[in-house]
Amino acid sequence: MGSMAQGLSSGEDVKGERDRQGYLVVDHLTKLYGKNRAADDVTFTVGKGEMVTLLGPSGCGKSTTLRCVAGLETLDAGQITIGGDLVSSASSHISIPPERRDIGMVFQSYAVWPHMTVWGNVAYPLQVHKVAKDEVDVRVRQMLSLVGLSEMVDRNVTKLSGGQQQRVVLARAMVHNPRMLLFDEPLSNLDARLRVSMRFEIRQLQQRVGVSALYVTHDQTEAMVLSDRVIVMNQGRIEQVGPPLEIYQKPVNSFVASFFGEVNFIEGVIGAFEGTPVSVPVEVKCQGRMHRLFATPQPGMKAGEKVYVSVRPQDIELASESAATAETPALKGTVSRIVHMGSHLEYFVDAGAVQLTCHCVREVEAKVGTTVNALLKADRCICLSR
Amino acid sequence: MALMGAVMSIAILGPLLIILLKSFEVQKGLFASVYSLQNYAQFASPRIVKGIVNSFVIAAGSAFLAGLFGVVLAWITARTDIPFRSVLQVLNIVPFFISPLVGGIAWSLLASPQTGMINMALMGWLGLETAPFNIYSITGIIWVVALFHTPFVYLFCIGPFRQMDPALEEAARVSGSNWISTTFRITLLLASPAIFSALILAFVLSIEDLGSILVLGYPYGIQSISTLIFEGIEQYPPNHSLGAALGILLMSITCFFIVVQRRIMASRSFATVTGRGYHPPRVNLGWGRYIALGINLAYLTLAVFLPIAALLIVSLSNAWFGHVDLGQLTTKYYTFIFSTSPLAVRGIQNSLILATSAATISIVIATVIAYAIHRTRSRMRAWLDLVTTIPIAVSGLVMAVGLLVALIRTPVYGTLWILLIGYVVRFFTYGQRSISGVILSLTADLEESSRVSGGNWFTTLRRILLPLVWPGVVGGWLLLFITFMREVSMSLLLSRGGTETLSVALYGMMNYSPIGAMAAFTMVQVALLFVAAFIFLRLTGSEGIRV
Repeated sequence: MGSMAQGLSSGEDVKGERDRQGYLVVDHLTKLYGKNRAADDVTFTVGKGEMVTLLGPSGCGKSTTLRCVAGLETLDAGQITIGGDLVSSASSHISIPPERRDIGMVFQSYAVWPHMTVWGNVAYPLQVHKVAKDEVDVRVRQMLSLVGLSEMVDRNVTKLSGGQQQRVVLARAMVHNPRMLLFDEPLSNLDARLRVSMRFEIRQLQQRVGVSALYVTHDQTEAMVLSDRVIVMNQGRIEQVGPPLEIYQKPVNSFVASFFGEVNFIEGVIGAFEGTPVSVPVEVKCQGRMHRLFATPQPGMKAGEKVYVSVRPQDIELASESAATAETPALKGTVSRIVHMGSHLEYFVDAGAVQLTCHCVREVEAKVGTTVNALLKADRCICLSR
Repeated sequence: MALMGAVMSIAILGPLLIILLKSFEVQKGLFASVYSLQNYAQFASPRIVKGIVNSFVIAAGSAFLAGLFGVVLAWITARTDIPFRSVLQVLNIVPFFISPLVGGIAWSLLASPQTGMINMALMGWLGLETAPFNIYSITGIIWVVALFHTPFVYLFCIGPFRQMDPALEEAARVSGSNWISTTFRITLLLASPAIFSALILAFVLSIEDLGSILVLGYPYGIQSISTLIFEGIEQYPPNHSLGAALGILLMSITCFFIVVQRRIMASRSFATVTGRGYHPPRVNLGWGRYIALGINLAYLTLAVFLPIAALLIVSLSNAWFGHVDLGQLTTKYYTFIFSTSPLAVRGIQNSLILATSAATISIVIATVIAYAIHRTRSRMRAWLDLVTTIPIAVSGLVMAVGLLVALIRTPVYGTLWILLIGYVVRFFTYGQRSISGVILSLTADLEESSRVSGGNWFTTLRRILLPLVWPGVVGGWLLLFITFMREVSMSLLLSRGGTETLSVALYGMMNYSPIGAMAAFTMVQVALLFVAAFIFLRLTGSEGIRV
């Protein structure tokens, strides 16, 4: 019946639709190292032309997942398709070797081949794909000018700087127009300044070519700059998937909240409420007194549930003791330390059992040792289960 | 790959098993034999007890002396402002390329009580009645063995000295300790695992050495475990069973010490000094740097310059009575070697054929096994790693006895093939270490990025891994070639008339030819080794030697 209904649409459209949704499909992937579940039932997709980041601390399974996609590891369960082709499947014992997956990959260690020139490194993928000699040269030079290394064609790669080596590797990964680009923490060996500029360059190149990409990193800001969507992983499992801003603003649990940017956690218990309000009351015990905060609950949270109220440091407003308003919930505390960070100021507020970090763009009327009110606006606070 | 692993396992373990069986075998009548402990019971005889004691005394004495020389040389060339440091660092390795047999012969020319040049000179200057030195003694053997094993200790210790984290010493200096006490209480203590394991290595090397004691001790009634084994095999009729039992004894000793040494190397304390990329500061010796230079030059004089000068002088003298007669210089012994002595020519030919082919076969096996261990998920990895260290723990002498007993009834016996097998089985593991070192320094990313770029397994091997490993292959090949050209123990046991190698021919000439011819032939071997060593050092530098 499905074919009858879609009888008019061409095969190309079906393919186009499928690619838009899931050009790369990772389906219930599990990878074991001994008894350790390095990747545990991982499922996600990358659309055509989309750049997706796997983000997580070291050992969370992000690199393992990437290496499974590359074909450098075999799966213990699940399957992977790229562009509709099944490339790995544990149940049918399929594991297409990396060289037949038509992918490009950038490694953390650069992995430039020291015995070849810049030209030789970039030409290699074309040569092994049996591209005609004249065309190889044309395409290598094109690619090198795209990454800004036109002058370096005949240089020895080992004589290049870290940033230049990274560009060689980028050119090498893209020169044969692979259907998928894989990045394994490519910027973590570069110095901070270079890292920032390379992030933009990688994103620009990827968008210009329109290739689908999967990017592994442990750096949250890198994920924000680079990706259409972010997949946060921890202990082999996916914690949350979504656009970077959504993950930042609406983390689903305390791990995601704390890994994706700085955050304050305030322990509390959800109070009584009716219906499905935007915010629910949370009872917080602070300096011997009960306070009532309001925060956005996760779907299905009930009264009496133990939660963290999660709030970003820049979402807390500080007001002097007298200027407190009754409408905005607040916690009272003492300023214990003030640090000038240049772009902003960090205030550390000691509210008994609760320690708050607040980022303020401008200086507020509070000195170390004075009592302040930390205003916690309901729309900036989220309930996360603990 | 699995096949090669299995073949090498059999080739290594087979002879050991056979030698073990043989050691319990006692001949009854012409064709029957029984198994008993009788061979081991002979260990109680005074002759064998004396030999065992001699072995331990020589090994311990020479290890101590080589340790002292090696550590001092390593420290002054790595950590002081000694002049000509880079030249000395290379020269200090040169004795490594001279075999103990050659060293023994050269020192017998220098310090034999009758015609030794040093003895004659000192007697002349000081008016002594008798020769001050007798090289044909336990002390003499210890001296020569120590001189030629010093480079092993030196190579072992110079790495840790060079790579020590300077902060560890700086912390001591900042705490108020001067450089002398810092050197003794921090530097040497930190390097002590390396030093200690180098001493063990020197001990093992000399207890299994046959060359120097065969020249300096055996003809004068000084026996050791190795000469007793040699005698058991070479005497007529041969006593293979006693040789095997002594072989098992020697193997137990060397295995024990190698296991101890591995333990020390693997221990935690050693890790603190293997951090790479450090450039610890050099101690400013002031005028003392010339004393350091003097010490180093003294070593080189004793281990290289004097022995070679003695060989050269004797080989060019018409007849040798202990002093140079400029009117009697001749090249007749060189002519003799290259035109009239079939033994000498055969020795050179056989050694060149054997060294070239054995080095090539060894390096191919070494490359495949190193690849299997470091770059595959083969189930044999742990096994291969273990089995390939066995030849290091079992001396060449024991391996040779095993092969001899195993192959004596096959057509291989008495041909170059048995030597080829012996060389490969005993020494391929050194080539494997040199290649493993290179493979381990390459991240797997280099090959993986070739695979994801579209290169298949073979293309990756051919275009990425092999070119990158090539320096290790070349260095390993040359090192093996040199090892085979100077090999003594296995060659003496495994070669027969017609298959003499350089060392075997040299031993023969020592017994049956004029002293000048022997010296000339030794010079030829030294020259061949130095050419190979020169190429090796130019290509890889001293770091290429793995001991």
